[in-house]
Amino acid sequence: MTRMLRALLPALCAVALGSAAHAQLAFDGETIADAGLLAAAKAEGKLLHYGTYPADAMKLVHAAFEKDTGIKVEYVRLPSQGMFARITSEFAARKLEADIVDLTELPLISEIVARGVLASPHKVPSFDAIPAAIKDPEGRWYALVRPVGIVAVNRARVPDNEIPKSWKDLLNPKWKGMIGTPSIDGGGSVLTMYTFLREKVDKDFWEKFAAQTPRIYPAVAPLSTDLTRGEVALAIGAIAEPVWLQMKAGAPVKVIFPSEGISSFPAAGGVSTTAKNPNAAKLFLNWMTSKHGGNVVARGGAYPTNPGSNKPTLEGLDYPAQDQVFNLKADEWIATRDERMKEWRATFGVK
Amino acid sequence: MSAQSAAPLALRAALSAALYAVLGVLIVVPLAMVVYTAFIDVLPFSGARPAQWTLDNFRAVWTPELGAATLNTLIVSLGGTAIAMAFGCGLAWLGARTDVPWKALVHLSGVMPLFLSLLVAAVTWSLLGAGYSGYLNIIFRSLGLPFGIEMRSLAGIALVEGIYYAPYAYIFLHAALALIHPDLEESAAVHGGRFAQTLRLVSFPLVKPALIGSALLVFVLIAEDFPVPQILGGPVGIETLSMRIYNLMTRIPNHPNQASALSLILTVAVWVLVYTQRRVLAAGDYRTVTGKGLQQRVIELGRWRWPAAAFVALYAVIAIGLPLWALLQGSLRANLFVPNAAAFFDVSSFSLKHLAEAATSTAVQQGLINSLEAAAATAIFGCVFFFLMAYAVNRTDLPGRQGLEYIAMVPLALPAIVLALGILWTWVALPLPVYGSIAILVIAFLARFTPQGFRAISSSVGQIHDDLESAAMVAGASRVQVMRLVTLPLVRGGVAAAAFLLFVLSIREVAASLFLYTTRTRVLSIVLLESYDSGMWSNVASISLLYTALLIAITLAGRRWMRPGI
Repeated sequence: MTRMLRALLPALCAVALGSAAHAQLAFDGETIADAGLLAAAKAEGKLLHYGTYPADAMKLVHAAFEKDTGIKVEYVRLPSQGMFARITSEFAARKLEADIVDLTELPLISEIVARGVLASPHKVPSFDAIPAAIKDPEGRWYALVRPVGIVAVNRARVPDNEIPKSWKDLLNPKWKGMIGTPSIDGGGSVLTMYTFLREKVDKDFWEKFAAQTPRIYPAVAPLSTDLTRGEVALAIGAIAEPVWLQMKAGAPVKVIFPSEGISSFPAAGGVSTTAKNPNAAKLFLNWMTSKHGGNVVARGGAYPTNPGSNKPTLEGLDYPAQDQVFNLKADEWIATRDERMKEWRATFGVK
Repeated sequence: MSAQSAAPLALRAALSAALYAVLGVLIVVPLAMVVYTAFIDVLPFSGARPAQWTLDNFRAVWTPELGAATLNTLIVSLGGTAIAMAFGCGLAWLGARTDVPWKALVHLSGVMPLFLSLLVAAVTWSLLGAGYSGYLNIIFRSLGLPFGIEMRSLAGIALVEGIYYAPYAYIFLHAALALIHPDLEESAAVHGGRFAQTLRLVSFPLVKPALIGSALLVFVLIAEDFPVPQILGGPVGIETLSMRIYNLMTRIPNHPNQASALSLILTVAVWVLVYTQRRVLAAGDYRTVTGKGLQQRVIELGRWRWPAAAFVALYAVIAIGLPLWALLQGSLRANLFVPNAAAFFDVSSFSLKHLAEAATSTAVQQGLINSLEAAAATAIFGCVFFFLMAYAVNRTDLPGRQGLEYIAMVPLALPAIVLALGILWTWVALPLPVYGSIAILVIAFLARFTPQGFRAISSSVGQIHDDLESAAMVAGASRVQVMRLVTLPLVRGGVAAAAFLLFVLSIREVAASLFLYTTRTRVLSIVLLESYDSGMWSNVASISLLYTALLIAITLAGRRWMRPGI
């Protein structure tokens, strides 16, 4: 009965609101939600998001969504593997309350699709414009936020005229032992970056880079910390935001976009099968994949999903255009992941 | 011993069953989940394909790297335990029995390292002493000193573990030393025993249970600890068993089944240690608190008074002073880069902005309230339950009482992340309305800290001579009256110490909260972790400083409760 009511709610609301039917959500001529969805979502009034993107960055996105729609977002953040375990356990016990779930690993996304966690497909208004690599063909998931792998430098350790301009510059023997990288155990962000380096920069990049004896960090936080302190002179990885924060605070660090381009990886998510607020969840997806919502994401320094949105705009950084950003397709990712990670560990001597 | 046998068998069996039931839900069921996981080939309870039974997980963990990881773990754990026991016991003895100056500082130094989460402690020490840009190394260079320190090494990891686990030794030993009957030491002195002899032959043998118990606890806790070796050892390729288990759990593709198998092997190793410990201690009689008054003699240190104070001060500087100074730098300075030693004192680059932001942030305030609520509930329920358990194990002949102790030690060996998953699987499946509430966090904390809480109370209970209780019972008191009027007042110090320990450990616990928190029950440690993951060190440092200040106030206020009430 409740389920039926819930399904009918958008229609009921549209009827009830009658004259307010023109109250759709639109920005600059782009319709994000029609009156029915908007009213139904507002009636639900809140949204629970289980996600993997750092909480402080996601907070800004949620705040903008809340301001536009009046829908309050609650956020639970865990790293991908932990979030996966929590989502699947709660779902199996019929206790998954999240309306939106996202993971930073497309193979894990495909796994929760297989287990029925994302069985409420929803095609967003901008569906056709979104590149195939960053959405599910049925609309079960979309890339929500796409951070990038970049090079960063500590200028107290590297003179300005020697700052690398390309990924290949990192292979210069003078940087031997001075570069930090996250371990492949960091997951999707690292795998996409290293796949990009091999496929788009140099097919022997791994071997050549391993010969530089980079310092391998278990996670991004200690890596960006050590870069800022000057413990390593250069660092690669998904560290644009923390490095930029330190730069803004006066540390001699800088983000570099190498000439060969950069890779991005998606925090991808969709509406959960057991969503308590399914309309708010759909509205959230519409908003995140819209030009307008994408511009908000871009202001946080990650690429948005909608190709018509602005490119990221962290003050003082000139990000490459959207079409110069490498994406690892879901099927290739799933098919090659285990083998590539094994190979990476062998090449870099990580047990 | 005969008095308690008077209780009817049915009642005793019921009491025993009740204790087992609570431990069963807290520990045995999550353990069973882990055991199950170790013998199947998929992640359990997650809607995956049907599980197949297998022994492959146990075969797969025997790799060449396991040997190196085991060796590293032994080095770090033995070294760390030695350091922790040296500092902890030294401080406890000075604080409990001597006229060392600055007693409040002794107590504060003894417990304060507990306040820092190990993640924050590890990062702080890597800022202080890792590599060329370590704060201390910058200062050494500017003073023209020809040496530096390197915390990213086995020695560095052992030192940090030793410093931050010393409070366990301090708390346990302090309670035990305060309960030694002075007659024993005095008679040794009367018979011409020199000071050192008395200490060696009388005092230390009497606190042997607390000594061995806390050493064992510290040893296993260090072996299980993850953040310190990960942050200090990770970047230089040092791997320990706990890192191996964590990696098996989180790396992609992950092997939670192998992680569970390796955890089980460790659990068995710990059981062997606990069993050995019981055998070693079983031979002795450590009950010295009898019906005679217990007015403790303060040992006069004489010319050793100031060297002893220097020892305390040295430890205070290493364990508290330097980390707090590094945190202060982290919260006052806009960024992490320090060009030279002069920059540490360049007031123009300081600002109270981050501290003010942390203090006024609603996320921090809400997290703090949730943390205090959960920690207080853990401390209260924990003390009641662990006291009953300690009483049953040490004081009664309840059927199966020794099994209680073995079960209580299980969470010690299970790495936090493995136990946390076991707890998640248990409680997400149970049809009780606790999942998603603060109560589930309290349950997880109680399960995780059973070894610490039980140990802290148990070693005090073991020192009370049962003549006192028997006397009261002969005089007509009921068992409950005896407990309330005789035993409890005598072990008040141990119980208060356990409450304090549970409270502080719960506030800083990350792993057990990670799988169980919701937006409404976000605790301070989660807020801290989120800031760390976002690369906002100034936030982490500010929050850490603020709640350390709060805990210092609580510690000083509650100091007198940690002495036995005699």
